[in-house]
Amino acid sequence: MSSLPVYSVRHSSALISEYFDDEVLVANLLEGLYYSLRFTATDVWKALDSGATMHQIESLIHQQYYTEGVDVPASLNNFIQQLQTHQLIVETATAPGAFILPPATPKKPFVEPDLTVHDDMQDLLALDPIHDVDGEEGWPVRK
Amino acid sequence: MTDQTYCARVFDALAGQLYESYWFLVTEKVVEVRFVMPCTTAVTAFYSKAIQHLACLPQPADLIIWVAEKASSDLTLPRPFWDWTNSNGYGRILAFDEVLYYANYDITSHTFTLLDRASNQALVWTRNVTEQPEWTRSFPFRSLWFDWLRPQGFLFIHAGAVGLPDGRGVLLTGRGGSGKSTSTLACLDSSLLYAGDDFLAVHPATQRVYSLYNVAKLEAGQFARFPQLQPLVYNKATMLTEKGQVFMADHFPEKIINTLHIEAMLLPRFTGQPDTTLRVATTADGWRALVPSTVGLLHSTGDYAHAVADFARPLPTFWLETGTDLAQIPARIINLLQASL
Repeated sequence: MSSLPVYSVRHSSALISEYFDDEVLVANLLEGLYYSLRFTATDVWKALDSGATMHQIESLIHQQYYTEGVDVPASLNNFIQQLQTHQLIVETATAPGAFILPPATPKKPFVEPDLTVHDDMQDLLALDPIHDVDGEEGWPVRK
Repeated sequence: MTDQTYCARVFDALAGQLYESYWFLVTEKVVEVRFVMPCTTAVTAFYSKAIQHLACLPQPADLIIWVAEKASSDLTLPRPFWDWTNSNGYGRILAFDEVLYYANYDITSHTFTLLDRASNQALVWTRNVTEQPEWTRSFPFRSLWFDWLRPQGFLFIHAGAVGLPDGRGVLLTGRGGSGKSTSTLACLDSSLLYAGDDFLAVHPATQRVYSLYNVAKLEAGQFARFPQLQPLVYNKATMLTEKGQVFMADHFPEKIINTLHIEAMLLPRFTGQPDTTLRVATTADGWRALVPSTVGLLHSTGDYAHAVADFARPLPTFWLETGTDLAQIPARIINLLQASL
C-alpha cells in the first residue's frame, strides 16, 4: 500500500489545459496566468491528469527516460510543489486509479520537470467593478 | 421587478421613439442600427464609422440595435432593479438570466447594453459619447455582437487578416505589439486585401473569417514606417496617449474584403533584419499567440478558450519574421497563399 501522497489535477471552469505534440499549456483564467510544460513535465502532467499515483509516475519516468544518477523522487517533489503553489493540482484522499502505464518506448534524456509561467494575459483580466451609484437614478457614476 | 419585466419596459419605451436607421451585414447576419432621435452626428459617427464597410441596403434584420445617448436623446430608462455588486467584475449584470438576456454596464465608457435574445432586439445606451476614450470608437458593439453571435456558431478572435482577391487569406495574430497592424498595413501596397487588424469573427465549421472593423491602429512611433498614413490619422488630438486610428473605408475602400477563407495562421515577430521570412511554428506557438489575448480581451470562459484553440489547431502555422523592407511582408504572404493552391 502506498504511503505517498496522491494528487489530482484541479478541476475548475477557470482552469483549462490544451495538449500539443510536445507541450501542454495550462491557463488559469481567473489569475490571468498560463503555464507551459515541456519534456518530462508534459508526461508528469498527463499522468496526473489520467489519475496516476506518485508510484506510477515514478515508474513512468524510469520507463520513458534515462534516469541513471537522477533523484527522481526529489525532482518529482519539486515539480509537484510548483504545481501546488500555482494551485494547478490538489492533494486528494484516494488515488483516482485509472492510469495504466503505457507500453515502453525508446528512452529519452531526462529533463528536470519545470513550469514556465506567462503573465501577459494578466493586464487584460484586471477587474473593473462598479463602486458608486447615483442615488436618484440608480446608474453608476464616475469614481 | 424581474429581468423579464425590466426588459419589456425598456423595449416598450423604445417602440415609441423616433429613430434613424442604418443597416449592416455582420458575418452573414443583417443588423439594423436605430439611432434614437434627437441624436447628434457625433453619436452616429461614433457607432458607425468603424463598421461603415459593412453597410448594406435596408432589409429585414436578424438583430435590431437601438442606440441612445443620454446627453442628447429624451429617452429615460426604468430605474435599475438589480444590485450593482451582483456582477462578474467586468460589468456583466448577473440579475439577468444569461440564457435569455445579455446585460452589461461598461464603466469605462458608461454604456449599458441589453440584449433580448427572444426578440433579437438590443439597446446600447451611453451617457455621453464625448466622454468616451477614443479607442472605444474602434470596436462598436463588440461585446454585444460577441454575445449574440456566439450561440450561432461564430467566434471572435484577436487577430488581423489579409487575403487575395480570390477570397483566400491568412490570419495574423499575436499579443498587442507583436506586429499585427504593421504586417497588415504593409500589405496595402500589394494585391492583398484587408479584412481587419485587431478583431475578427470566424466561423470554425467553414474556416471563414469575417471583417468586423475597418480601423487600422498604430502606436505613434510606428507611423515612421508608414509616413503616407500619418496625415490620415483620425484622432490626431489623442495620439500622445492612444494609438492612431486610420479608417480604411475612408481612404482605401477598394482594399477591404469582408470575408476570407483562412488557409494559414501567421505569427508576426519583428526581427530588425532587412528580410522577412516564414518559418514553421508549432500549434502550441499558435495557441500562445491567439488564445490568451482573445480570452483576456473578451473576458471569456474556459469553454471559449477551448473553442478558439480547436479552431486554430488544424491551421498551418508560421512565424512571420518581419524585416525592415516592408515590401517583403506581402510578397511572402502571397507566395504562401499561391503555394497552398
